[in-house]
Amino acid sequence: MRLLAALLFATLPLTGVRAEPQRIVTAGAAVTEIVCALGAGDRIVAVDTSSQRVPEVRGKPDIGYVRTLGAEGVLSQKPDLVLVSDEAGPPPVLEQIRAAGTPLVVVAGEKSLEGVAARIQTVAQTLGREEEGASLVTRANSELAALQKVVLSHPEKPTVIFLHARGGNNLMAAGTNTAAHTMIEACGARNACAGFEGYKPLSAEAFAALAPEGVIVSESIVATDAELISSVPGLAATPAGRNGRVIRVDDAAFLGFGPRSASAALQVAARFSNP
Amino acid sequence: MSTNPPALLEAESLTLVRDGRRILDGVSLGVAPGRVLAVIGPNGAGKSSLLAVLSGWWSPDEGRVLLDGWNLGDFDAAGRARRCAVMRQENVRPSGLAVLEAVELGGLARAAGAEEARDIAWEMLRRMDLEALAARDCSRLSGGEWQRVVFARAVAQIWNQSRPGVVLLDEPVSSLDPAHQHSLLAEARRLARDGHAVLAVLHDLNLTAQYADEVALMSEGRLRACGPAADLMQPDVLSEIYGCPVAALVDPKRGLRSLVSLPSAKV
Amino acid sequence: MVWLAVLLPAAMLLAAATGAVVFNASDLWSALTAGPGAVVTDPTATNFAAILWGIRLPRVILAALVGAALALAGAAVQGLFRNPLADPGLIGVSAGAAVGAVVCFLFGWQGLWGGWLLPLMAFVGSLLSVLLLRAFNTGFEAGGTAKLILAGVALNALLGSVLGFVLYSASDSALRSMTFWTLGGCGGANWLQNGFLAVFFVAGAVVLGRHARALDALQLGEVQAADLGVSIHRVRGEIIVASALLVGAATAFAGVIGFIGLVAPHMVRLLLGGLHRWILPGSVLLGATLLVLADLGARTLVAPAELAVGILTAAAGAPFFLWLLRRPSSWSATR
Repeated sequence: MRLLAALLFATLPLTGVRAEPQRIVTAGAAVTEIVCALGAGDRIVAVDTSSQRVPEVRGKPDIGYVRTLGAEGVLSQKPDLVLVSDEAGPPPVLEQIRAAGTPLVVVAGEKSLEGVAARIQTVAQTLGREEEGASLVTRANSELAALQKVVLSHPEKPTVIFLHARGGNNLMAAGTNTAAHTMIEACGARNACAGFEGYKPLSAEAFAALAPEGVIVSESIVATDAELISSVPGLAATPAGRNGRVIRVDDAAFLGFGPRSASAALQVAARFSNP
Repeated sequence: MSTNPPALLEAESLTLVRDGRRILDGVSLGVAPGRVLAVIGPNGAGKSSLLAVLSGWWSPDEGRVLLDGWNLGDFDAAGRARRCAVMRQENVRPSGLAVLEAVELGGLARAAGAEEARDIAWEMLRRMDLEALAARDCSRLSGGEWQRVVFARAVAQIWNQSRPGVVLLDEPVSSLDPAHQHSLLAEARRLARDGHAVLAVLHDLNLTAQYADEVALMSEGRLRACGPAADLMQPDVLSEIYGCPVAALVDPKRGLRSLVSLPSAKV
Repeated sequence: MVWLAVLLPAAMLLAAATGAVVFNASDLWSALTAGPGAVVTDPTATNFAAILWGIRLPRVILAALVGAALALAGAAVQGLFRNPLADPGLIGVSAGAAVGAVVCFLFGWQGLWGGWLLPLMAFVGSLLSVLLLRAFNTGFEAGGTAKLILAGVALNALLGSVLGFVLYSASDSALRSMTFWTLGGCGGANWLQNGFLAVFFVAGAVVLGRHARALDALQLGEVQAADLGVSIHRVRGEIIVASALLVGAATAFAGVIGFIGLVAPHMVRLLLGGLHRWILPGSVLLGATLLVLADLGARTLVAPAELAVGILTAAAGAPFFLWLLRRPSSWSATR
């Protein structure tokens, strides 16, 4: 009987029909969100640390930081599928998981709102939930269309900066080649920090020179808007600081290029059009 | 300079220049087997520098050192260590090393096995009255005890080999009480009588007079005089070298003669 | 010494048998006997053989080799500098290796020369930092403990800023390779890397083993060691190169792991005395054991996640270091 089952299982990929994975391990908040949005959230047995903020999986066993996973830790959850974002690592560990016979799929995709569809499709295919995937993609695309409409209706692009605490209390501003930059542009704004790459701390003079009209920060920052404006040197003197234009976002959604990213962008774009 | 027997360690016109100063200026002397040569002189005369060159640690800018007829520079470290042992003025006291182990290190350059090194070490401890301290950690010794251990280690280097060796001592008794000063220098003299060549840098005039066969007087990098101790350990010679009055006090009844230094008139 | 020789295999056995995936005795036995090439027949069952041979054993062996290399280098460096507080991490040698390796990652060269380039660059980095240290410490002799530690602090700061700059300018993919590595850990171990490390370790160990007696003599002072017949310049050079090689190789494959090089030789000295014919092999055994156990903790304490092993070695090692600072004997060998 076991032999028969084994034979059956081994030949299934050939027939194109896959048995649905029952124990999924995910790494990367966007990937986790997609799995949950496809209705397979109850099959997730363990997630990485960043996914802990996704409500459906909060409290599940934590396999660690997405970039420093442990092979044995992942395997101890007895997954029949491991779905990871393209940030997952270290590469040797991913290899080890595969070598142990566990299917591991890296959900890659362009780091833009357009790339979300590709991610959803990869996950949907892997899970055998193409139908749900298709509807999710449709919804994402319609949100994207709505976003583009809002952006087009307001040709004036406000200048904004995105501030993020990268380790510790250091608030750094996002330059080009970051997820934040892509999202800012997608929201119909202009990134004031387009002059540099990556995340950098800004001095008071830099703030003054860039003169952003708005500041986007993570909603997990505890300080109130007023406290934030006064605590960041130079921010109070900028138009954003003077007018108190602080926009808070769920940074997992805003930066993750997952299913909620389009709606997050829509919310921000709406704020621009209705100051 | 000694003429017979031929010197085991010979310095030929050694000159050493550092920062434009002539620390050694044309120093020539020889240490003959069977003799104790004391090198004395005021501070800064170059005595320790002379020792550094004689032991091979520094190369002279001019002149050369011959060990048993061979150029010192031609010896590899182990070969030189087998023929010539040095006791420096200051010696690090290691912790975690027992006295016996420290003395055993004297046998490092010798091809002989661990057993022989150990036997020699015990012999040295016996001669220096250190047996009771064999297992003591070196860091727990008094200054005087440590100095005797260092001496024992140096002797262990040249002990019981087919040819006599050279022992260079830089102020070997500076931390010792009078009794141990005498016993260490008596041991040095016994080494000489056994056939080795001993050179000691000393400060104490009386000890020099008592234990040295020959004396080399140095000041300002130059060798002022070298000859039998009896000739040179005289008040007039010493006063000139040291720059302070030296008087000889004689106790005819007990046949003792002691040299006493006095503060110079400038003080 | 006998205890140490027994302790290591026991620790390795324990580490091999324990992990995030729970093995019972029969699983362990069947996995062991199945061998590394075992084929998966039933995909739904846990592949114990693959886990044991592909993940856990290489990792345990990596931990043992790295622990041994770091401890041996630590013992040699302590003997050479005549300083019981000289640990390759404290004095900046590990940071030098880290810079070398990170530069290699920066340009994406880590796969070059069949993988040899990475440890070689780490070795060059650690060698350069030892040479820099010598320049600060002017000839090992002068200054003693305080000067050495201060020089190490300065060097660590300098190299830390270089490291930070390299990380700052790294591309995302290079950063991915570097991130896990800078934390220090034995994850992702494989047999090929272990092979490289073993080669480096043996090379370093052979050289240092030949100088065990010279290291003893060095405890009496550098001049005195020369007097005793040690060819000081050659021996010093070889000890430095061998230590840098060990630290470089260990750091290349496991990142910066501190305190093993400090704690292991010390404990060995406390147990076995001051002669390097015991200290060197003892450090190898104890260092390997300590890191195997630390790595075991790193991968089981917060399973299924993992702790960086450097956290555990620091948690145990730092208090030990502070205790050491209080002992007068730490300061007596100061010249």
